[in-house]
Amino acid sequence: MASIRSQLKDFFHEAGGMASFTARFFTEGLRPRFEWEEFFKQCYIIGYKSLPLVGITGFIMGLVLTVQSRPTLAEFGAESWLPSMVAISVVREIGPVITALICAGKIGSSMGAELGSMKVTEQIDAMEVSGTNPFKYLVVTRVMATALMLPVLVVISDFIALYATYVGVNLKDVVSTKLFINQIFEALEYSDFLPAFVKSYFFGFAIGIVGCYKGYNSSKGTEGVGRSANSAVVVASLLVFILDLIAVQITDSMGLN
Amino acid sequence: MNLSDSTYSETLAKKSAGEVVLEIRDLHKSFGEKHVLQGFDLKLHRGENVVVLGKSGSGKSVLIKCVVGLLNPDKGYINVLGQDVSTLSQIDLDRMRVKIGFLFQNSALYDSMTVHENLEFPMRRHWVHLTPEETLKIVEDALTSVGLLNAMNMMPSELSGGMRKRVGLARTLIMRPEIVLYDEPTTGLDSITGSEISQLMLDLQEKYKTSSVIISHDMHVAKITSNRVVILLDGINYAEGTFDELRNSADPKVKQFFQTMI
Repeated sequence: MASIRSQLKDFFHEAGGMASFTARFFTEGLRPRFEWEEFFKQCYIIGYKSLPLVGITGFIMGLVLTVQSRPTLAEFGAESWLPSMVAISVVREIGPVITALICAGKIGSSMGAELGSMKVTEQIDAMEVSGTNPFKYLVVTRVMATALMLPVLVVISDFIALYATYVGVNLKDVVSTKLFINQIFEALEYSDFLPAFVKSYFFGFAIGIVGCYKGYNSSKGTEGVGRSANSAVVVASLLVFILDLIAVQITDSMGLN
Repeated sequence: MNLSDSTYSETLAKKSAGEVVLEIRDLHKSFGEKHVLQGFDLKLHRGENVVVLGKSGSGKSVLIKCVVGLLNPDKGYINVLGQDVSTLSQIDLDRMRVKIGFLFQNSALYDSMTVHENLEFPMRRHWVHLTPEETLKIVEDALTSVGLLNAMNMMPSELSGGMRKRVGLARTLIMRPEIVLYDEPTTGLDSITGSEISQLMLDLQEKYKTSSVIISHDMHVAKITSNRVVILLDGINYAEGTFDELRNSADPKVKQFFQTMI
């Protein structure tokens, strides 16, 4: 009983800490001066440097989904629906969620470890005593860059996954590029794309906030850095699923599903 | 403890003639049940080097972190260059911090930046009017002062412990601070490099006309760099005087302290 109480206390302490960290992000982020140079550097690191991983994942995702769905659709004689079905699945759900999970692993852990290591080696303190606001320089820029770059990565991943679907479809059938594109665009609507794009911003924001929060509040030396990186991935991944669930409920209530 | 020794009185008289740039009164700081500082007092005069000697865990680093606002004291008064630290807004605190240099125990160089970028970092935020050429010139001058001009484009991971300390020192002094706080400047260095760093601190103090508080448990540093030594014991400034006065003190606690530390 005491253990459950202690775990609950830790949970609420953590949740409260993260909420005040998020509130601080909005108050500090709105104040001048904005660290543009660091922001663009982070966009490059988070966006461009994540492209290979996101691209490979997107390709495999599209190909596997196509190959795995074909037998079921073939049973109903609905193989011609394959491009449309995969496109809707990828654009609406699988693309944003898988890309966000990959980014939670790559970006979340890297932020947790980087800021954690800066914290325990007093680099954040050094920044503070030099009269620079480390929260603005390190946290605001990283969170903004993640929130901005994740939707871009999702769109790129979606396109690569759809190309992989084209490859997958043509493994057993012959479908022209024009027909494939027509089928996809006939099936897809703005209401498929827009909610997915919007929720990607929130996924990116959550990954950035969690990664930075865990790293910024790291303690207990190198062991603490490892723990920060690890828990950044776990919490960010969990938050992606929770946000996805909320997004689905909202789009459903708006009649967009 | 107040030493009645004439040399100490002369030193104090000489120093007290100078302007007080840092004053700490009745400073208290606890972490849970651990009472680290229990009424610490200190006055630093312009141009003076004060070494605060204490054992590990005695609260030396806590003391200087309170001075720059990295830690909030539980009780007490800290005045830096005529400003009460506890009443400063964040903007004023940041302005005041520019006038204080802080050399961290492990130098705390930014790992993701080159030596040049490390030195340039504070200047680009506070001296925005400088052209890139002027900034480069200042960085080169600072690195020349510590004998590491050739390390300008190296990453901190490529530097030895002594080199990191020198770069840290250059970064600390590049903003021309009036007060410099050194946190264990020779920890982790061999005795020869430690002596070099101590000498460098003196040379740079002479060049930049700074006043310094040096936190250390290294007697050699205290001997070389100090005008005055303060012994931090049981959370208070237990004894003050020149290094030799304290080493020859008849006070049993000070005697025991020196025996343990040496």
